[in-house]
Amino acid sequence: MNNFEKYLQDNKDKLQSDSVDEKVWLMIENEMLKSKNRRSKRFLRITFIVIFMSLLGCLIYVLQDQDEGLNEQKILAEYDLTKYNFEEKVNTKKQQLVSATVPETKFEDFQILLQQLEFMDGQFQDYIRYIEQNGYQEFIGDQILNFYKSKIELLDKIKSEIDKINYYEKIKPSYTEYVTIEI
Amino acid sequence: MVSMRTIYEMYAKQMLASSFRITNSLPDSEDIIQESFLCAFQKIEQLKDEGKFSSWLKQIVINNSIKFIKNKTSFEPLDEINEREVKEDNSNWYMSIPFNQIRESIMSLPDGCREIFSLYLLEGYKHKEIASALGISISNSKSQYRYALKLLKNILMKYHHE
Repeated sequence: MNNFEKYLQDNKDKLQSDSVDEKVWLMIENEMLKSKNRRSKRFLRITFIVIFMSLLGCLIYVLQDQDEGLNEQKILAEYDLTKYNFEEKVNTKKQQLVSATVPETKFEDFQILLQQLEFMDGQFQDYIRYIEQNGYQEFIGDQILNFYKSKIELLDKIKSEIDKINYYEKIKPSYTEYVTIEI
Repeated sequence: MVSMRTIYEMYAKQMLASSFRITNSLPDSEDIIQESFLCAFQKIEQLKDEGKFSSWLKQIVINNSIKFIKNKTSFEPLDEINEREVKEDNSNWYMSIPFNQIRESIMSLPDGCREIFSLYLLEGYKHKEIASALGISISNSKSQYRYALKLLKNILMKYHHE
């Protein structure tokens, strides 16, 4: 590199033009604002879609739930399965257990009974689904009646277990907290 | 934190000069620095070392300027210029020439050689990097540079003698 080249290199700052047109910054600022607005709009749009989808999901869930309840009652009534008032009996038994409490240490003993109850409810839904898909058949009607009988028996069993535990708790307290049996 | 406007004011003149020496078109260089500043501001989080902002920004400006001229300029290989024609220089004849005169003379150089002259001497690129960026051979880059230097000297000599 000769002196001339070195001179140019050392003074390259002095080879700059005097100023930059103000419009360049204004354009940059404008573009940044546009981009910020686009981001805000996108965020709002996504938020709106998420809220809308959640509401729609809730609505569908509620409607389906209602439909299922209606279908059950409709099917049971249609095939004369309501004449024994099983549903009413089950509800009465359940009501008795709603506020039932047991000492916390004994709560685990109920888990198997509660799981059994849950399993039975699942089976009942399968019977209803079967009727919806294939129409009513007598054996399903029998199964449903058996289901109610078994469910009432199970609820009775749970009730007697609770009574038994609470009786012994009175005689020999464990001094632990009481918890509700959620049915 | 320094505002974007402050950053812009710190570097805009320098970036415009770098781009303008390559494109030789003020409106196009204004577009290029606008696009480059926007790109830099939007991706500033990617920059690990804030102290390197100016060199990072310069690289964006130069890359955008090269992209702009790449398909517009032809870099026809030139006849080899004798090294001595441009290297022998012990006097300080150029010192008396005003910088604006030098700047205008650089801008009056033909496109291809002016671009290489600016990239090599004023932006500090190596011939290998220039050749790779513009898609030409290293020897072509070197000869374009020497040609530009020779032409510039001839132009400035006239002012010197006047």
